[in-house]
Amino acid sequence: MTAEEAKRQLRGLLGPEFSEEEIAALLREEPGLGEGLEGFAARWRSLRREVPSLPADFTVRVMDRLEAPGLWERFRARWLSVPRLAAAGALAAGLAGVLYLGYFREPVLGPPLSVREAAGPEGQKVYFVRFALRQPGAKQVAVAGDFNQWNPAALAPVAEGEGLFTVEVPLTEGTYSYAFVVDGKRWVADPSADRWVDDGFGQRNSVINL
Amino acid sequence: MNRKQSPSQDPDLEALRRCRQGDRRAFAEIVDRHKQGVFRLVYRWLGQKERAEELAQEVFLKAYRELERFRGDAKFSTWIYQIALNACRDDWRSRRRRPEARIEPDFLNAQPAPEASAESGLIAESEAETLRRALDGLPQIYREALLLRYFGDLSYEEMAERSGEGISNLKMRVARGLAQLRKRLERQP
Repeated sequence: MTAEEAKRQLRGLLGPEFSEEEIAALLREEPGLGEGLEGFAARWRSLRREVPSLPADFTVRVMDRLEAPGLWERFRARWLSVPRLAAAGALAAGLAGVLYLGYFREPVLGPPLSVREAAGPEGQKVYFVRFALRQPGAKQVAVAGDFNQWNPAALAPVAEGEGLFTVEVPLTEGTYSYAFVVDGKRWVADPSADRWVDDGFGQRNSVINL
Repeated sequence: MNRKQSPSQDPDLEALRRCRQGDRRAFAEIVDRHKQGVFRLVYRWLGQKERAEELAQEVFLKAYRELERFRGDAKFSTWIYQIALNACRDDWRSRRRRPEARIEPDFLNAQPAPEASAESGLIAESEAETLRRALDGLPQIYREALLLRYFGDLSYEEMAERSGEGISNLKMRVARGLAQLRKRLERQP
């Protein structure tokens, strides 16, 4: 390709606004710039498609959208009235309470700890302690304490007891620490216990005095 | 180099002053003045009239919402073209991520010319997409110069007036931008 041909192609791409000097300067800067430009120039021109006319009401439509309340304004007008906010607040507080009691504060309160006293074969006192835990949704509940060397003993679910699990354990006089194990993994303190002590791992054990 | 405009030099500034005082009709004047240029730019990028109209409307709505950010150290038209360019790229990028949101360019729906076929229309769109991708990868100063000159149909004088840059500087940006674009296209399949 001759230098003249390269200039002609580059001028064809860039348009008449470019002077001879500017074209020459560009070719000095990058000598191959004008070569093989036909294909690229055709591709580039194909993007400059003819533009359809805008509808006459374009400005009116923009202004209508400007005047129309936005999503936030519509939400605020519709939902953020004082009675709705009060109702939503009460609902949220109720929900938070349920969550706290049902999950974080576990367990849900069960029946009080019941103790039945009896005489042992050698005349000593035996206390039949009925451990109980209400745990709706749990598949199994066990009790573990220093009376059974912390080996969980299963509690039986009470028929129609709404998630109530119980077991009766014979114990002799003394003070015992214990906790429930829900579904084999979650340790839960007994809300019906006399008192609670820290288990040293950030949780609480329940304590019973007999 | 940017330069501050005074209201007497730029009719947009006077309209903006009224707009900031709560006169919404002043914004309608601004829309009237720039709608054709914004639409041209957006349409040539998207190739589909309905979506281009919608996006052009969104450009003006965004400009209105962000009027406080316009400092007046460039022409208002420069600023709104910048919003339009960003809107085009954002729209294109989000559609690339969601193939189901792709739009069909007008020429795929148009009656085919005797010498054209549906296949040639698809090839043309694939070509346009390749060019958009190559443009998107250019350095900002080249990309903007090319889009304003060739998609926005601005003359070099208009570009210089709006940006405050010199004409020969802008010409060099366009020439170098085209050279880089060509190289990028040659590297692509």
